[in-house]
Amino acid sequence: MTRVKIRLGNVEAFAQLDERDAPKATKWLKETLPIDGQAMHSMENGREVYVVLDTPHQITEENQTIYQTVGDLIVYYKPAIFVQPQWPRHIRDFLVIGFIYERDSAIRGMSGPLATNLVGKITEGIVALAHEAPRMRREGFGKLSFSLA
Amino acid sequence: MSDQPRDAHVQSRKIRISFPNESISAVADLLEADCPNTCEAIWHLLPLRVKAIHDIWSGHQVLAHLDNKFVLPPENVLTYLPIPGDIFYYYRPPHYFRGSPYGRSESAEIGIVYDRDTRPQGPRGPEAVSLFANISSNLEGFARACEDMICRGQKDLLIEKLG
Repeated sequence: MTRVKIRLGNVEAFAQLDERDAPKATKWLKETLPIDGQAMHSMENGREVYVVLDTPHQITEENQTIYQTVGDLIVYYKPAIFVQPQWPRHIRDFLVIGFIYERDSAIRGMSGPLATNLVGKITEGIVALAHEAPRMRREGFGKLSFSLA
Repeated sequence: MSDQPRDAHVQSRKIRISFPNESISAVADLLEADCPNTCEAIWHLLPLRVKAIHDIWSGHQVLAHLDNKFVLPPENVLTYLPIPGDIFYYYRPPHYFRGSPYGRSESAEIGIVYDRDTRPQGPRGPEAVSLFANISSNLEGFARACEDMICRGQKDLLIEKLG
């Protein structure tokens, strides 16, 4: 079982990749890590924090759900308007990797629920993330990184 | 300006909303014909300096918490797709939501929509709101300052009577 370290601002957490149910996406993720970028808080889905992958990748639909829950590590194409309101109009969406840190959250597209690839589950540090994300909402967002533990 | 009840035919009163630390402001028209009681109550609350924070459920929207005692009855309550510049009031009674979003189990709030593809929502779904004003000038500059809050966090928001 592959572990991934998540660092958000001043805190760390760990996730286990779901290589059995998401073999292609987790293989891609392991080859892509480390990922480091500007942390972004969702403006449309609730308690979600993510980072935009700035290089092109083709991720196939795998182990998908519209019922995201606390601790889910997810990869999906987020509608561009929820990333950059002044987005270049030829870009429909951006590939993002993120996580859900509190319940009552649901990933949405432009017309309703959006299925996301569930690639892992946060097993340690979810409480720390759930405190750090709201703090950064108030005080400003820093970096979010994912790396092999 | 007098605070006496106004003739319905008089041109709408205006408010200035600004981020004083950034010298960015916009002007909004009160929608007194559609939402007279909320407009009147908000008017008497001004000037108002509050912390604004970016919403996390609704899209391109910022919100500011008012004193919990500032409870207004619903008026022109809309669960709707706002247009950029819409400003509205809504109130959540105690324990309306699970837990205490923003540390409040009860909350009176003002929401401001700065771009399209937005819908007032909370953790239980679309929110009914009372639409009381719309930004009529410098929405673009104001919107950029709102969008900036996603990464930079909350900002002071000043709402004043303009005339």
